[in-house]
Amino acid sequence: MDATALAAAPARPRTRVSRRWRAAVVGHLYLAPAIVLTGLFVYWPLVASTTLSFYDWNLVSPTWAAVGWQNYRELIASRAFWTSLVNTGKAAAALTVLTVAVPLLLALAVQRVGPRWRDLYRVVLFSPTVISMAIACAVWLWIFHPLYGVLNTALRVVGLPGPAWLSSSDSAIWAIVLVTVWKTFGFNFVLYIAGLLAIPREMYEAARVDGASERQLVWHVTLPLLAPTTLFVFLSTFILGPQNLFIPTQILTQGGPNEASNNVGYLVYQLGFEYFRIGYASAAATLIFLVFLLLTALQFYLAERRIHYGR
Amino acid sequence: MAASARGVHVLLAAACLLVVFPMFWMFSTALKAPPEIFAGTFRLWPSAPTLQNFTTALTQVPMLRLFWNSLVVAVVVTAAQVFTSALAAYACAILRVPGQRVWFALFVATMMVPFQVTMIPNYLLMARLELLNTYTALIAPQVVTGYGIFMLRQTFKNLPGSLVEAGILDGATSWQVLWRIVVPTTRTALAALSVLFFISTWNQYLWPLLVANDKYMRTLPVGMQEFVSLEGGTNWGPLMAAATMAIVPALLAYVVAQRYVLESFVTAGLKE
Repeated sequence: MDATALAAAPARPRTRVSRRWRAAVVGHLYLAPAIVLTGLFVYWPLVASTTLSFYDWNLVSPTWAAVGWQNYRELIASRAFWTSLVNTGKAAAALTVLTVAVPLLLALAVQRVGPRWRDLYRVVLFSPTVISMAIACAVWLWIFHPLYGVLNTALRVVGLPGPAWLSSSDSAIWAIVLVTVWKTFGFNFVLYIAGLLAIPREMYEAARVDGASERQLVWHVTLPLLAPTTLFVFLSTFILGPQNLFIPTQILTQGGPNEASNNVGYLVYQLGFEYFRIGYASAAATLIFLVFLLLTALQFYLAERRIHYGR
Repeated sequence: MAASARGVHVLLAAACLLVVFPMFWMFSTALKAPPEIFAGTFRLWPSAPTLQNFTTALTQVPMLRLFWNSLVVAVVVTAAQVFTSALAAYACAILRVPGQRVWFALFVATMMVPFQVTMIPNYLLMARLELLNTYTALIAPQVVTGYGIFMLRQTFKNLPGSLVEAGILDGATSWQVLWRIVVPTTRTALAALSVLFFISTWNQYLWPLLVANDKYMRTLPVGMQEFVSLEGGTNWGPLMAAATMAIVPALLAYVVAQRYVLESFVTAGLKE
């Protein structure tokens, strides 16, 4: 298809050069909204954030002080930064394992029931995915309440002591992970169901003819053929998972107690909008961006390898 | 085989129970009178269900207004995201504008910038333009999405070339080809993407939290948090009532359109 002719068709310009020129201009008019908006709301902020990271500013003062690398030095020396970084890694690992394994197990289970049951289970198990994370967290805040929460009142009935789920440094971060899994696993679950439905029936029939047991079918037919879905789910959860931690952290624990459940995304918010240290928060944001970039590059590297050498 | 089928049902039913319980508990608490909420005993269903918490919630927080704000923001953002994505994807996939590869790479790269990195400068921009607590601030920074451009470029690329050529032969302009041929042919994909954009905008929390703190300009998920108090004085009954009022319409819409919503999530692939 001659796209250049398409863009220029109505004008019927006389020369080839002016026709091309016109097609390029018209084409850029289509790109213009996206160019202007991404420039204004993504690329400029990226530059601005890096610039801000070299200043000391409290959001209201009319004066800014240039402080060089001071914000970065302070950040690297601070316990909050390292605790948040380690916590983000821990939570990302737990989220990845749980939101890859649990939906896979459930999708395999759903595959074994009739289509009517499958539809019912699918609708119910996906439902947390469509509701608001912030509202769900308010509900979980109530469930975790140390005195009147349903979790601890139920434990009391069976004679167990109810821990202070959200204010204990041992459990706070796992409570956040639990809520995040509850809210987000449904998406991976429907992806797995779609992946399972895409496996040709003949594959199973052929394996059955060869005398494969049900268990062997899962290990030698289903899981290998599901590998592309699993890889996609794994990588997207590992990269995007930590971003889902922000809302539960803000509503359930505010990063506490004593940074025990903080993570890098929430730390930036805290430094900027609770402590009003804009430059310091921007330094944290810039460092996070670099880490994130590194992880994304790793993701692409792994995905490429899989495509080229995986089969 | 029969035994294992039963085991499968038990597993799935248990999972469903765990998924549904928090929502059930929200509803049950919303119907309880304060003494029962703070009794500290385990009770699944209120002994005397009351709507008291709902009236309290409605008088303390302008629920209808919050609904309206969420709706305006979600509708405008969804429409704008689909529109800007379609234009850019059309230029990249069908018009093949010179330099489109570079522009496309720059659009897709925005997906790799975490929100926390851009939020401070974007907030400062809105504050400086004195746009805090306006729909403009809630909407403007999100009217473009690298993800949408990425998805629609894939969709448009899969269109048969003959379809577009037929349009050119009829003497249609590129604008007419877009609206009369490309958009109608890909309406299923556009609708699926819209469902995804709508749900994620309706549910978003962090950006509205930053730019709209006026009681009447908040969106639903932000406005609800008014009942949560860090000093321990959280008003649980009205909070659960407000959460019920916010979640139930969304869940009903989901159940009615479930087949469609689920397919949208699968066809539109990645999230956000």
